[in-house]
Amino acid sequence: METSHGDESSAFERTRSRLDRLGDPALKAITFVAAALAVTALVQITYELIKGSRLAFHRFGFGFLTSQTWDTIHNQFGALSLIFGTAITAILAIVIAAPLAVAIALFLTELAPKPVRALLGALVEMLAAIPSVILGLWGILILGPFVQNQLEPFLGSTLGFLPFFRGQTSPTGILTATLVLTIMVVPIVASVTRELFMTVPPELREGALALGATRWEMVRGVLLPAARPGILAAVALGFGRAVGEAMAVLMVIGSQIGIHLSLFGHSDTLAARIAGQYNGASTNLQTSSLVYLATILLVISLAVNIGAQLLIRPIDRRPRRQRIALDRALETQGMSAD
Amino acid sequence: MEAIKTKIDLTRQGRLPAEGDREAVFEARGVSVFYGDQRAIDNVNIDIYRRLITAIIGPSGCGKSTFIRTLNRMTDLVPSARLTGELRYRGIDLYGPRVDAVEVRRRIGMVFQKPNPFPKSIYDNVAYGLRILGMKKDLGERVEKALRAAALWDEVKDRLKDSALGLSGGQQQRLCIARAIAVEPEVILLDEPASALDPIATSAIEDLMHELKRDYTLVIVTHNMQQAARVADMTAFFGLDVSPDGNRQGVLVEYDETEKIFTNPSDKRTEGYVTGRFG
Repeated sequence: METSHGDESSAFERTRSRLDRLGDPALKAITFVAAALAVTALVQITYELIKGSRLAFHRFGFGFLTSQTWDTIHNQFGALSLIFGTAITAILAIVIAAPLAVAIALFLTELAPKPVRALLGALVEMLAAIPSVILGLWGILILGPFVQNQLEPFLGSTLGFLPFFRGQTSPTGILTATLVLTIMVVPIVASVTRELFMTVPPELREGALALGATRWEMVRGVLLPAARPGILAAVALGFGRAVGEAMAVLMVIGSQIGIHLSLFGHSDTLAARIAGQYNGASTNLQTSSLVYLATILLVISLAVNIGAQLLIRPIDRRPRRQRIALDRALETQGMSAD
Repeated sequence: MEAIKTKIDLTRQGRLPAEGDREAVFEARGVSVFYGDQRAIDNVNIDIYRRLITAIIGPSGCGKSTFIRTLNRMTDLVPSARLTGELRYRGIDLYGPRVDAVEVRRRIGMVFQKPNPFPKSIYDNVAYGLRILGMKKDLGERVEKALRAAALWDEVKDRLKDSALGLSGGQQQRLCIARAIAVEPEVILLDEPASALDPIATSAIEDLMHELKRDYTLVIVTHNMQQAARVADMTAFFGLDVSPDGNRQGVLVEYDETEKIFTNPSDKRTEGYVTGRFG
């Protein structure tokens, strides 16, 4: 009775229960801890990697990066051959996978009949869910023999004038690893790209078609440019996946040190070498060298990830907003004058 | 209401050609459109005349947008859509077996409810249609001409390379009109072109329509009756009809000179709608 009119400030006095009032600070605390944990994990992992690779770093320094040797008997280690193997398999895989993935995404969003879209989309996503060890197994059992008996002889006879397609055919090697990685990367890039295409407003498609664009002209002139930054980011994401894949690659690449142009030959990657040798490492130096490889891998992966994030972020956000505001002001003035 | 009267009086003073002098560009005869089994519009008969502005008005869901989209075969983009009856454009059956929808849209342009500039520069937005149609000669001049015709040139001439997305809504819509006229169509269809714009931008679009009328045949769908009264020479009123089987469909209730529709409609439903008694 007194509160209603007599004392104005008491009208908004806190009357909620203590528990109710706890909600906001609790939410803040929980979310902060969760976010802090993520950051801590990243810092902690980086720290441990640097610590673990200290021994190898003292011994080999940055020369580790330019040395091809990996000699467990004489305790000489270097990463160059593995960096090469990682780069060539991941780059080739993404070069094959990116156009395929964009084509799949286009089919799923633009061309396929509606009922097919959902089904096929789900199947593509399921491809991404296959555990990599199973893909590796498939690589050994099915893909390997196919590569050795059909693909490599065919490439050798048609493109054998190039140094990439020469040499002993083999069920394992760079080509097989690349194809396994491609299969792993395609669904990732395709599903992200599909989402991107679906976010392109239908009005843009209509706008192009209403100008007399064919479907292909609409895709090339409007859809792809509108989705381009996102597609690049998706490709970077897929590339990161290919760089970091250990198990499937380990199973099909042949685990051999050395740099050569032939895609038929054996090779090895950073991730596969770490996974393959860590448990059987015979010296502290070898263990430390493997951790050194892991550090390199982490740096590459983080760099790819940062690159991807920069690609998605619009570069000139603030200036553009200001420009819009300015335009509006100018336009209103100009209009009201007449 | 006074303003509307003035506009109509202007129309009466000789701007609208006499009935016999009008040249029909579109002739719809018994046009019905179905989405799957659902009939959206039923048995529409209408002649749309050259170099006049024809407004299509009516309550929500009466098939206004469906009808305007049949005129350049945008309905084809809905897989379940089907048209029966006959729709002729300059004597050619628009839905005839040898007619290519892409060719139709090159000659009958369209501007949409929501401004939809491409995420490209202002210049490239206008040049887009020209490029795909292979009209690459004098590209710069054509772009300028289209921007001038859309009354946008003075505002954007110094920043043609800037993103079109930085323009205001009204400017974006005029850019879309420029984009449509750049490819030199014969007809421009406008599907509620001002419904997402503020009054100032709306009046700019309406002024522009009066300018464009000299060279183009314009068809505008609008839910704004004042707008129809201000801009249109002819007005078609679409209404909702419930057929015996319970299907709700759009029908053309009345089509006449705008003045007649707004001052002396012959159908009770039209009168009810334009006087604001329903809809």
